[in-house]
Amino acid sequence: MVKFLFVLFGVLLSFSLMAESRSLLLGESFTISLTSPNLQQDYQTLDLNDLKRDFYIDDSAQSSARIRLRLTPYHPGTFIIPALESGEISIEAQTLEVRENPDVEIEWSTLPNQAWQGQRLSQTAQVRLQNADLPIQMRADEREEVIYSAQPIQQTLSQRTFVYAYEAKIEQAKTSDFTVPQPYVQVQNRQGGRWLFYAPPHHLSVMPLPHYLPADIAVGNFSLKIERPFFHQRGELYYQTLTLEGHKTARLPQLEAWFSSMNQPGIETLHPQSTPRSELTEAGLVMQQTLVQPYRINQLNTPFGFGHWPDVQLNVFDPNTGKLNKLVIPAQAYWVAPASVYYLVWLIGLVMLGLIGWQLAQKIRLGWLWLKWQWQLNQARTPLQQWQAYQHWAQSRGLGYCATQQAWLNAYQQTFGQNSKHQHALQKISQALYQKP
Amino acid sequence: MEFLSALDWRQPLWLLALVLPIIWVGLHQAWQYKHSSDYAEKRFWPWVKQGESGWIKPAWLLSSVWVLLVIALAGPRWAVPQTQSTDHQGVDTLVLLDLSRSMSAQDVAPNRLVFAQNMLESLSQRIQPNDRLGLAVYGVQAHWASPISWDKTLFNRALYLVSPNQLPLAGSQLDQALGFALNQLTQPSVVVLVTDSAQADPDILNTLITPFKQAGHDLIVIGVGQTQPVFMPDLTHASGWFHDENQAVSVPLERSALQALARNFMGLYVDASSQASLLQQLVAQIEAQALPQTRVQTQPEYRDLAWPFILLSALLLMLSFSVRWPNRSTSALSVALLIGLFSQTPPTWAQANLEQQAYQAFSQQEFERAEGLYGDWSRQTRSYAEAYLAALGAGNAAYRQANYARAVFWYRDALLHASDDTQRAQALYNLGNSQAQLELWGLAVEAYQDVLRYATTHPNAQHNLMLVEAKLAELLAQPLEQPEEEGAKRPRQDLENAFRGGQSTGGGGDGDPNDWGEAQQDREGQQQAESQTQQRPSAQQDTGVQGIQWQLNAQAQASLTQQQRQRNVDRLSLKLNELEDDQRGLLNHLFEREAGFQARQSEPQVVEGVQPW
Repeated sequence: MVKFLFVLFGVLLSFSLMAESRSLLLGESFTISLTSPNLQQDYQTLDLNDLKRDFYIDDSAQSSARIRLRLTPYHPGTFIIPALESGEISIEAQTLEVRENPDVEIEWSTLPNQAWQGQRLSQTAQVRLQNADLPIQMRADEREEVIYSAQPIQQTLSQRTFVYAYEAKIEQAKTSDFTVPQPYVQVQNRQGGRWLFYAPPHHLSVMPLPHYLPADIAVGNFSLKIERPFFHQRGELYYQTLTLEGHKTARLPQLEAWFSSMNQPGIETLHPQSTPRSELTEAGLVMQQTLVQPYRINQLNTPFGFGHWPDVQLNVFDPNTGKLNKLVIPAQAYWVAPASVYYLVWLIGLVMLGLIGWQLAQKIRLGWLWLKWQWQLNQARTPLQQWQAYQHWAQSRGLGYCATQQAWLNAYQQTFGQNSKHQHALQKISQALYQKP
Repeated sequence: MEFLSALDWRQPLWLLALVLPIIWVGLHQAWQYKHSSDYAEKRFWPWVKQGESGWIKPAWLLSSVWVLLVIALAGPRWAVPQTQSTDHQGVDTLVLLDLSRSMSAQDVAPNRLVFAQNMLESLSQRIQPNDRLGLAVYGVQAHWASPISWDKTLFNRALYLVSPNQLPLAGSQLDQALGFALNQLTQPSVVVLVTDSAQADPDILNTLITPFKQAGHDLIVIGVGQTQPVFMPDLTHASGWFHDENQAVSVPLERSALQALARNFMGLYVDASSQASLLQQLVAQIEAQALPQTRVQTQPEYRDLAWPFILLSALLLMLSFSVRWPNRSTSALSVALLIGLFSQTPPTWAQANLEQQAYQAFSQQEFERAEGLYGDWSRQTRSYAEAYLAALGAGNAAYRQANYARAVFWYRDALLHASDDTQRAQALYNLGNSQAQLELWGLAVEAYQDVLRYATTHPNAQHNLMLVEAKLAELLAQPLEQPEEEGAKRPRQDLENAFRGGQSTGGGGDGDPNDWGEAQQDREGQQQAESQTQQRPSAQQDTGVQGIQWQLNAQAQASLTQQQRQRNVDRLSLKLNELEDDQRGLLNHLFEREAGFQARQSEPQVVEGVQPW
């Protein structure tokens, strides 16, 4: 005895074998209940592939007496559900019209058809909402290889952006063609119900890495940056900071080669600090690791001199080109000297700084005296005042007291050389002071 | 007698070789006796031997050289008892490390706690081996993190398991830390207090001073941070800084209060710094606490006595050369002994310039030796360019020995050390050739295809690819059962595993085995063509076809097994790296239980009257 229950918007129509034309909004689901004496056996042989092209089928609601299939359409349109039969269960042919949802518009980015083992793919969902207040979040299977943003990574008043990242894995003894687990966006509507928008199904061909590569090679696009000091005081604590960043990757490359490059005689390496970080961006998952390696250079072969860090090369696999690539931490020289040399250099530097400062102060003082002299000359109403200004300046500059204009000129010329301007001016002052009234 | 009892041999078995001259002398005497008997009757011998004169005889001289060299090889050495006296006992040092939130301040890089951890790790590496070190961490209460022990690794392991604000009760109380030290230490010790804060109950602190001094402890206070107040980072707050009652909290190093504390306890205060001089000062201060002790340990120190024997043997050999001997065999023996003598030279002489030696061995077609030398060079060098050349050279030497499984190993190593696409293409091409020789067609197809990925116009790779694709297509066209029935063939599963899905098996090529395996140009070291066409026929001439097939199958299987094992090791290594033992969590829970909490605490609890930082 076959029993079918066709439910639209949660309404159960028991014992219905009828074909109907139904209509629903994109985001809404409808349910088909299957019952049969040999339910599990019949369900196993039921071919749902035609339905899976257009609908996401959730069959998690199962009991020994009934299997409830919840079908959620991927896109709007008119769908003809063909008659399906298996053992004692069958699904009647029916027509379903799925209308655009006026409140929610969703756009899933496309995924590539091929990926390398260990590569991480990302998919974004741009959701435009008519009503910005509608609660919305992304959901996906809780699996090791899946990372997604439950909350939007970017949002404007009417648009939300979600990111979903999936690691392409190959399990042993399985085919390399996979169906990517489908994330979905869940919107709480005004009626208290929920709309579900599933990402369209996507088949992915995962290519194994070439057989000659190590199994632990990192796949993705990587960049690295290293900061290390050049000058070192012998025995003092310093830090090298290595920042490694990876895109389209499931994990970052191993750094044993870098750590072993630090193991040199006379260099004391201390416990490194590692700060891993991963962030979902529109470009996908960005993984970052910052390693801070403390160390002391305790001795070189000589009391002071140059040493060098050797270059370190990390093998990575570039999924864009399918080629082996290298991340290179370049070799770098460093200088080591005892603390006493540094103190001496500091002392010399301080003395030099003091001398420069003193010279600068002298120049400023001379400039100030000159400005003051010029101001006094401009302010002078009488030749006597002008002469006094000349005398003032001469005394300030250390030319001594000059009783006469000629004495002033002689003192000036001895220090600064001939100056016709002053000679002419003093001549005029002399004439003005000593001419007969 | 005392000298003889102190005499020791490094490898005494060599002394057995001393009997050889005696045997030789015995045989020689017997031979001479026979020779003389054949020549004349015994009564005429005195007239026959009249011509022989002189006390220096070559046989005696060379026997002496032999004896001396054997003694030198046995390594005579004199065990001189060496007395090592230590002038002081070991010192127990307890580090009290502040774990309050204020230690997360970043006025010293990276933050106060990490700075202190680095300083303490360096200190642990500088104190004497007989000094013991322990770690207690404190906030409102003090807890053991690592017991007092000689094991500095244990100390350092615990040191980096702790972090600021980790303890279940927020804040820090110095009196609790010092009280803990006083209660736990059973003998005079050095207490190193590492903190930035002097928060304490003054009454309790005062009561600790006298018993602390009476117990004979010594206090070193290390202040971490700067005296200018700084904010503490807090990622849970929107501003990024820790707030208390809506106010951002800043914490200075309370230097003057800590200096006063050190004075009260008759201790020493120092500012934490990255300087080596601070570590020297701390070590000196810790060692000053040590009680004097005269402990004399006698350990034998061996003095090598081989060199006088070598010298003497060299002199005797020179003498043997300077004397004109009647027959040539003695000269040949002298030369042999001279070679033996110089084989005693330091190993570094022999290993000098491995690259040159390897190249010479390769040129002289000593491929096994060349592979070994290239392998040594590959292991010893720290340069990536040299490692590539060494691996490629070793691969070529293995290839010339028709040991393709080892050649695969070396070419793979060369590929991983290659620095550009040209080098990668070269290593991959050679790898493909080796795999083709092993008849691992699927792997060879992949290798040649990838050569073209790195060097798109590689003519030899294109040609070889066509041939191996044809071979693969031929093999895949055979029924599945056939290889198993034949026995000599390998299971096809290997090929299927190796062959990437979705790729065309291709076709073409005339199938002539002499056509594929074109000259491999410009290989390192030899710079000569690596013609596979020369290898295969010569191998076929040496042994039967079945034998070669069996050998190749064994090699191919070994190569696959080796690759699979390496991949398993790589995967295991990855898994091990991903393991999380959560030792920090365990330590946390221990602290929580000691503080009276049965359940895990999501954040430290505030104690009334104590600043929570």
